[in-house]
Amino acid sequence: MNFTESLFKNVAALKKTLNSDDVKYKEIKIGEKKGCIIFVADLTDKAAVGELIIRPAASLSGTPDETVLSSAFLSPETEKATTVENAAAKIVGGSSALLCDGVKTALLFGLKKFDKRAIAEPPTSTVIKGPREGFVESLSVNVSLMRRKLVSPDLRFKYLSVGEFSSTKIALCYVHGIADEKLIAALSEKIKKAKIDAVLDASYISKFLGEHKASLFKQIGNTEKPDVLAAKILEGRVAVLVDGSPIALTVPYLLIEDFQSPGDYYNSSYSATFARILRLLAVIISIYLPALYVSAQLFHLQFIPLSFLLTIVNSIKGIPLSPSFEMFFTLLVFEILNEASVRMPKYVGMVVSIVGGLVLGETAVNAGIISAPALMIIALSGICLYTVPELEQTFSILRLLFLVIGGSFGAFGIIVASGVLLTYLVSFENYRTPLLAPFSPLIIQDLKDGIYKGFMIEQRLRPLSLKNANKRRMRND
Amino acid sequence: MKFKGVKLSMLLLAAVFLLFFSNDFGLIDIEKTAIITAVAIDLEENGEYKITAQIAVPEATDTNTENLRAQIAGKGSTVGAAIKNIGDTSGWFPQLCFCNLIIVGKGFSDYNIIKVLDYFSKTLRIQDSALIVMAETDGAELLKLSTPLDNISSFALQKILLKNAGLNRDVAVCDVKSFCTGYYSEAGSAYMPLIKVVSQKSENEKASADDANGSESSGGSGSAEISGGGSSGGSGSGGESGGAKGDAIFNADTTALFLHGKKVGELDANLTLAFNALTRDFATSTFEVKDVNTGGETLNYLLTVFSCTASRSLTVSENGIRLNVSLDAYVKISDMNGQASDLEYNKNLPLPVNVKERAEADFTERITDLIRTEKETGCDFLDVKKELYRKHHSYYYVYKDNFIENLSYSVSVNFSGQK
Amino acid sequence: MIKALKTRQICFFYIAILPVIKFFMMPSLVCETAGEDLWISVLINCLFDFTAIFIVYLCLKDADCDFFTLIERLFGKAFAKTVAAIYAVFFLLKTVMPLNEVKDYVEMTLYITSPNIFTFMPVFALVIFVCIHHMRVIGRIADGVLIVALIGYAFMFALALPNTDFEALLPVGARGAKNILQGSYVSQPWFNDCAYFLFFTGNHVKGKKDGLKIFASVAVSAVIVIFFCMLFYGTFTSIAFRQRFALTEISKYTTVINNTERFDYIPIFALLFTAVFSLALPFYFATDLFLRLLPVKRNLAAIIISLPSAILLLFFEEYFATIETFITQIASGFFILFGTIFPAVLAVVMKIRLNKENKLEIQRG
Repeated sequence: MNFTESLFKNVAALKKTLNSDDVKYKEIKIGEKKGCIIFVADLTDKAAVGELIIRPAASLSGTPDETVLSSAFLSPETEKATTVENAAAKIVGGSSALLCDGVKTALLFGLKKFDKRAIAEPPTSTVIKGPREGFVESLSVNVSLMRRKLVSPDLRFKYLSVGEFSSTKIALCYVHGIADEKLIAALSEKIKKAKIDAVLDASYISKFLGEHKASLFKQIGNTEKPDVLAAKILEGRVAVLVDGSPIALTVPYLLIEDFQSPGDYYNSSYSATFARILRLLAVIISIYLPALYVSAQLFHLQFIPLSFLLTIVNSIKGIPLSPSFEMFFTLLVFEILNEASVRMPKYVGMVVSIVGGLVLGETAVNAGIISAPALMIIALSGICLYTVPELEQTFSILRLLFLVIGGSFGAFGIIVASGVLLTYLVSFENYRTPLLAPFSPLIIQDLKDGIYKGFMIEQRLRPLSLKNANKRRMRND
Repeated sequence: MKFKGVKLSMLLLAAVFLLFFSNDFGLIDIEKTAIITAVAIDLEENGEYKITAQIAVPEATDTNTENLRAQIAGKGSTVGAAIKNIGDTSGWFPQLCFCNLIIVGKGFSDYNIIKVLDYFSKTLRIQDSALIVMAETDGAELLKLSTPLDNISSFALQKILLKNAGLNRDVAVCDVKSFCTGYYSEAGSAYMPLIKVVSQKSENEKASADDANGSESSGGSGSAEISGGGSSGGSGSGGESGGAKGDAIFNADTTALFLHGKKVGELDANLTLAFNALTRDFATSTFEVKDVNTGGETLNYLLTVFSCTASRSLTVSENGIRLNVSLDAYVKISDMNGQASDLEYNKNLPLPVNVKERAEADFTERITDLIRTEKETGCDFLDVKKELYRKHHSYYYVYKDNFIENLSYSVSVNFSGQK
Repeated sequence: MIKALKTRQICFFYIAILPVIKFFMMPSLVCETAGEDLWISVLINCLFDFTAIFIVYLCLKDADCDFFTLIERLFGKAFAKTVAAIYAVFFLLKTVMPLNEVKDYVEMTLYITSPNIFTFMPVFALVIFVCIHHMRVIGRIADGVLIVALIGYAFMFALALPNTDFEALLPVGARGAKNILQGSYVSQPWFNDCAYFLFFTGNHVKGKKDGLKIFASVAVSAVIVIFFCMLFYGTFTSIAFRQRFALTEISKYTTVINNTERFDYIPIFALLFTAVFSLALPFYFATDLFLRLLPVKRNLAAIIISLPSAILLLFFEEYFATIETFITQIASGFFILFGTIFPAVLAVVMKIRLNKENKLEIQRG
């Protein structure tokens, strides 16, 4: 519905659309004409409204027309709206609207003010050395953080809006000249096509960006740290920043990304390489150890060294559960404890971990429900999984699957399942980028930042695993 | 993956879960498994085989885990049947994959032993890397012994054999594979250590120990016997923590020689050492040189071998086969039963000539005796026929049936070293 | 046309995937007749394979599609379908021995307590899963498996080497040409790897020195197999012919085992992981050829192709000795004919035709 020249009718129409008590209507004088300022009380900088709109309006003389009005106010961010719906959408977004009698448009002033969380170190990605700032829920703050990291005209933001009710602002962030234009277009298209009520977090959008809807594996990378995001978009990735979420999504995603901790780039190559090898070994141990233990007990006693076998035989005496069920039960208890400690308030969570870890485990062993080796294996497996926290959920499901396969089919089943997993992973592509690159397909150049972390000076080229427009990132010798 | 695929995967997963929770495909519970660490094979008077298996039984205490032992036995007309009999009569599933020692009883001295060992070579249930020895007594007796080295006598025996394989070369260690390889080779010759039991106790204590060793149930030693032949034998105090350690120790430095599976001779300790010097890495070994005339005094020396190069080569012609044996060793005097001057201790003096000559003469004699034993027994443990086949193939068919008769030899031994 | 493979991936395929399947029964089978000359028998087979690949590569290196597509273009649909049918059977027959021997190996050496029908059957899940993917995935599998295979080879050879008596391979050639050739003949089902190359030629991104890289990888593959056979015979000498499962056997005599128990299971598992892909690949190519004959869905084709082998394994286990005799004695001729001779001869004919076509095109301007 278009605005008319009647202030009364226009205000009435807006009141009908914005029928909410937090929307305020303030009648003012604009020269000799009547006017009305409409704003959402908790989203607007009221002092700025007074100084930049009401005061200049009162100082006007005569009957100002639309042309005079558009240059009369001091607010640096001014827009016009000709329809009631458009103006209403802007008002609930934090803008203040000015309606003037005899004028068919609404002037909109960007004078938002609301509380934001302070920039802090993200709890999911702490580093010993390196920047500690993390993204917050405000898109504008996050954009400013990125602008401060990459002071270049080539850092571009493309704004989109998604969510029928949330109208969430989404920014595609990329470095012009490095990011693949086709990828940017594809992402824009996918985001535009996302018909959803509301986007309350970046994870809502990530479901629309993945090409394999039912995949167990992650398809979209994420980070909460501006320095990591800056590094990623400089490699040719495109980031998706979502208003209201401190998590930035990155596309395309490679599995190796989550084995690379931000700290690796601030430490020496040797320690980074060692840490990455440890992470890989830890993940392998975590997924395979429970399965191998059960299959060895059930099918392949010869895999177990004799002295350890005698210890096992001794420890399982009188345990009522079969080896497979014992391990499954222990794993189940571990997952329940894990879930409970994450959900519970911090101080209760600590109690849960102490009670669960120490008391429950000790008592279960003493009571002869589970054996000490089984408990130790699950504990080791659980700890190992957290060396790569980003993939914890995926790997814990895989661990369960391998345990079930190991308990049902033995070691050969585990080998076959590993074969299926490898085939699945090598066939997995997102935005024409193989998930397992640079290992399969093998890209030797990119192995310098794979499990082996090469010296900074070695990495003259951007990752060839990603389709980027500019390959060279370092020109010095 | 499409959603249809997901549904199919879920169905498959459900089936696997079902399998997982009901996985009783005749699985053998680990607790019902007899973990056999060694087997002894004896020949019964009726021609049946009696297999005595030593099984490890873990027993936990608050502070540590001690391994007790128990013996179960079975009889049968073949080795496989006897092992099956163990499972049938004891209710335990005999798990042979941890069996690292096979003891052949004295009853097989005049028997083609391959009839017994072929089973262990062919079956996949036991590792053919298991060590094989011949007992001077019944094999089962050896397993019942209680030693100060380990509660489980087979572990003690393995320690002796493997220590010798790694450090001192005074045992000619042999495993199933090596024995069978020798048996099926051109010469049909093989060997294995001959185990002798040595008691450490004084005469008085020895008498009581002999009683314990001889009895069927050795309760004091923490062993139990379940006869697999049908009747359950006396069971010992299997639950006794640790078990009392006995006094028996093993000597394995004699070697039994076999030709076409039958025992044809023995190498004593001296010859076994010489045999090992020629066929294995001899470094780190020690040996004694006795009765060396040193300045009018007769002394004994202990020499340690630092490096040793031994070679055997054949020269073959129409006139016969000549085995050329040479041994070059670099040794150091480790000990002597005389007093060395302070000056000598501080200097790296060369090996005294009298010690060198005595050692060389001693080893030349040992090697000569070794070759003589080969000729006497016909057991080609020096691999002459194998060498003939491999490196002088054109003469192989000339001498393959009479190589022993046509064998002459030369021995060259050279020792060097320091005091 | 987007090429499915990189030359590197073809090389890795030959080095990582193909040698492993020859580590099970083949060496002992060759030993039965060739004895210490088993390596010569194997060398003869490798030379045949190398020569066939060499001829096919040289003749068809400029082709822009694979062997079977080219046949259709040059000789027509009927001939192409006949050839596809023959090779589908060829690949299916090629799976018989490896499937049976790996099944026996797994059940008899790994499952000491209670092998059952579920033990080995999961392999068909992998077979079907591999079969439903694009050829590009085969190349990537080769990339992914290479490191595992190399670790397996290195570990296994390092463990076996100290216990190997290489002099056992002497005297060279003493068994006589007849026995050596007999050894070559019975091991045909494990060789004739040129048949795989028919799918690769014209289907890879062309680069510098492709030919050299491919020939080198085929040679390396041959060296690995020959060296394994030498280690095998050097370890077992006179009883080598009795060792049906060479893979488990050769590395267990190391002194490391005394201290760590079966440490050698690490390379065994690594190589078994590679071997399951070796098992799946003939099925993959058979599925590909089946689709040229009957345009059904790939999933369905994969199931149809795998079914006979699964049935054979499940219900005809007791006839394995007969099947082994048939495959190694009778079908070996078929393997030589269609794995080596036919591809080489046809490649030469195709080259002549292609040259004629090119000349005609040039004449036409």
